Amino acid sequence: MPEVRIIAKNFMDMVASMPAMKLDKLYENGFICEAILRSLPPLGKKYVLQLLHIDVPVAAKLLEEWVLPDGYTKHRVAIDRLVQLRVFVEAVDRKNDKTYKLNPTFQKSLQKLLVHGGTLPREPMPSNITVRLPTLDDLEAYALQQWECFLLQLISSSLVEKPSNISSSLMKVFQRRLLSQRDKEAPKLTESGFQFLLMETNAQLWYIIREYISNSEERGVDAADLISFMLELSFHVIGEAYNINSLTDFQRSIIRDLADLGLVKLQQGRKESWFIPTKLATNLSVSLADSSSRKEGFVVVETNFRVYAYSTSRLHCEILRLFSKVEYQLPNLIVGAITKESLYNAFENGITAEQIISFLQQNAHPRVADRTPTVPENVTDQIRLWESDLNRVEMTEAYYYDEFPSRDVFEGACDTAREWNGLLWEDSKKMHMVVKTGVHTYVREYLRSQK
Amino acid sequence: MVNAIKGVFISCDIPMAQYIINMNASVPASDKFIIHILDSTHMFVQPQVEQMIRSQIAKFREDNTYVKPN
Amino acid sequence: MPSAPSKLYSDDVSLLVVTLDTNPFFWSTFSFPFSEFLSHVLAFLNSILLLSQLNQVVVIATGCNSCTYLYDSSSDKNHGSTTGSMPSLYSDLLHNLEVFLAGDQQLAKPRVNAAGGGAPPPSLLSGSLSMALCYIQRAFRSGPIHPQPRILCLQGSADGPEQYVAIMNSIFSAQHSTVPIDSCYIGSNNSAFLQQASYITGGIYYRPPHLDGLFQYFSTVFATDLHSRAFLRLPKSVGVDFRASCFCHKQTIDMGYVCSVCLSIFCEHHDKCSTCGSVFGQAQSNVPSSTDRKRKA
Repeated sequence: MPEVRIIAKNFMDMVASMPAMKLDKLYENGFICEAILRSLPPLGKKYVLQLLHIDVPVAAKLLEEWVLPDGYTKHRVAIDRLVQLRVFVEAVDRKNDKTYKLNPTFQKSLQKLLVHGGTLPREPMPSNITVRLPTLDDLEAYALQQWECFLLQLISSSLVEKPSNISSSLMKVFQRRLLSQRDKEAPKLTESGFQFLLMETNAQLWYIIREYISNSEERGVDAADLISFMLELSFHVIGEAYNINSLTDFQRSIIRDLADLGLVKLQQGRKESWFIPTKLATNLSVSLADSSSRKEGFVVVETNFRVYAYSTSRLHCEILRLFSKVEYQLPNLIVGAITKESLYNAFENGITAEQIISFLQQNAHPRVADRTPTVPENVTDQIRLWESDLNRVEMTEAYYYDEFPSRDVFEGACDTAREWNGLLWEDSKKMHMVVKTGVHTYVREYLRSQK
Repeated sequence: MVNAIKGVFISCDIPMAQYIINMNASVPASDKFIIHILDSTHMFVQPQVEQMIRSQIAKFREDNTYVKPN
Repeated sequence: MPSAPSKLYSDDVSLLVVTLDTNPFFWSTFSFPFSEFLSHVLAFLNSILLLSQLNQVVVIATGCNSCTYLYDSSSDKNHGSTTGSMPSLYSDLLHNLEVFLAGDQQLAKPRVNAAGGGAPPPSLLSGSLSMALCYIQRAFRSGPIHPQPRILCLQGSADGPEQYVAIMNSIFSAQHSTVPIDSCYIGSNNSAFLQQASYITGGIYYRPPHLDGLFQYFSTVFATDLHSRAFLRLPKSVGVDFRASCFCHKQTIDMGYVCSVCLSIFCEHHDKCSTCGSVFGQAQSNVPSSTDRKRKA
């Protein structure tokens, strides 16, 4: 889904937009280098590995020679990303050719990581102190429950029986772009709110974390510390208990918020308290890259437009209600139907057909996941047809030109309009043309200059 | 001297174009909004009728939709 | 034979199965010490695990008389350690390697002085390839989402012609499952088997000229995941040695007899095919007798 890439890249853009000194300081931590390495596109990862032990700058042309011609765009994307994150340092050699070199701090940290392995600043606690450690399944259930509770509260606080401890001001920050508040009305989901719900969990998690980090800057907390703690957290072992005393004061203050989101589970012993990272936390570094989701799906779509969702979660029910008519809700099954009205409702709220279709495909139940296509073609085609039915007519504000003195003037005006991407229609025989309003000034200037 | 007219450029399919032309024919002469019919799928109309055309098309779509009585 | 195209993958999560040549006869006479070679390999394996949380590495040792799994990065006992990769990779692998080498030596059958007495015994490449393919099949069956598997053969010893049939069978089954076999050969002459393996399965065969920079060759050529191989210029094979070994004596031959039913190759005329049992006709009179046939080793 394109949304995952946009959100993840935005987080990476946030990292990349940090001042050079702060970024270099971040790169002293081996785990951050590892997380950043894992977030690069595949070609980027390869280039870093290749230049890992090379100390002299390498000519850009040499790097280009490794790529086949049809991989050139990927090559450019990888190089741009590397320079943006200051992993590659660009320079110009004596012959005025571009050269690249690995950022020295990054290089040293990564080399150390490769040879010696990384050690976390804290060790898991011995089992004689930590009693009643939850099993991995319990932990996953807990994380899922916390996350869903949080999402439900995000959409509407009335849906949740037990609200989490996140302060209402923080909630408001998260809801900033997702809900629209109108006086005397309950807050309603905006278009981005709907799209947010249909994204996969990792994308949603990154969105929330990004909002959290940008909000923390307003509160005076250093974003770099926050980012490095988040990335470090993703390298902890899932299911192991870590002493809370091993965290700095700053980290302790945010661990509570992370527990409310479901990233860690807090437990109290007799004398000490500890936190246990869940799968959501350890998946943080995986989801930075553009890889596909690896979650098990729950939705079966049939050729008669009926939707069967094997889920007990209220969140899933709400999401399905966005675009389908939910008919029955059984203890472990939600039955609904995709109808024209339900889809028109969704389209009016700003959801596109592609988002609905990719949601259904991404969350397909394993039983139907091997089938090609996962969602029957008649359903996907009909959803797209219904969407295009709403947009049968395209209207653009424009200007209509006729009575050109000569063919040359007409051709020139057409070319000008085409250059500015504003030519909507032309008739060369009668010498009439239509251009967008935005481009009108340029065409008028051209015509005036022709006199 | 080149003539420039401000308005709205409409691009649609042929049946829709015919519907809009028919709509134009049924309004009184002072309200006629089509300035030029460019070809079978494009036309140029007056600026303020955009919303009116959209609502008429929506009504036309609703009229032609059958909803099974529940 | 046209080489198999590799599947199109959308991400770069890989499962790398490495078969490591531990033939003591080869390493004791080779100019590059095994310990240095091993350090390059370990650094390379670490870098593969570094690239993605979901990457997996499996190491299989190819000995003279047996093969065994040395290391599996996804096994449960690795979850206990800090990142599951670095410290346990070194210690576990080295420990298992020592245990294996001791065991392998004990399994050595008493060597009868064969005709080619001076040549060192070959390593059991066919055995480790089969073990690699079995592991990959298990990975395929683990669910709809699985990492892209590939095999990397780190080989130094010469080919053993008696393993021809078994190796060719492994190569074809790898081709059938679209698993590329990359080979990094460090011995003196090119290995015909590995060249054929890489050519048929769509992998890369490469003989690094300078062994001091082995890690660099690894990271440049062999670290590429299957997704990126479509856009990168990788070493192409020049002149693959397609010679076969005969099924009766296991010696490499250039010309011979072929059974028309099962395509088994023989160097001399037989009455009956030993593989499929079909009866052959009379030998043609203008064909020179087998004893005069030149046998190229």
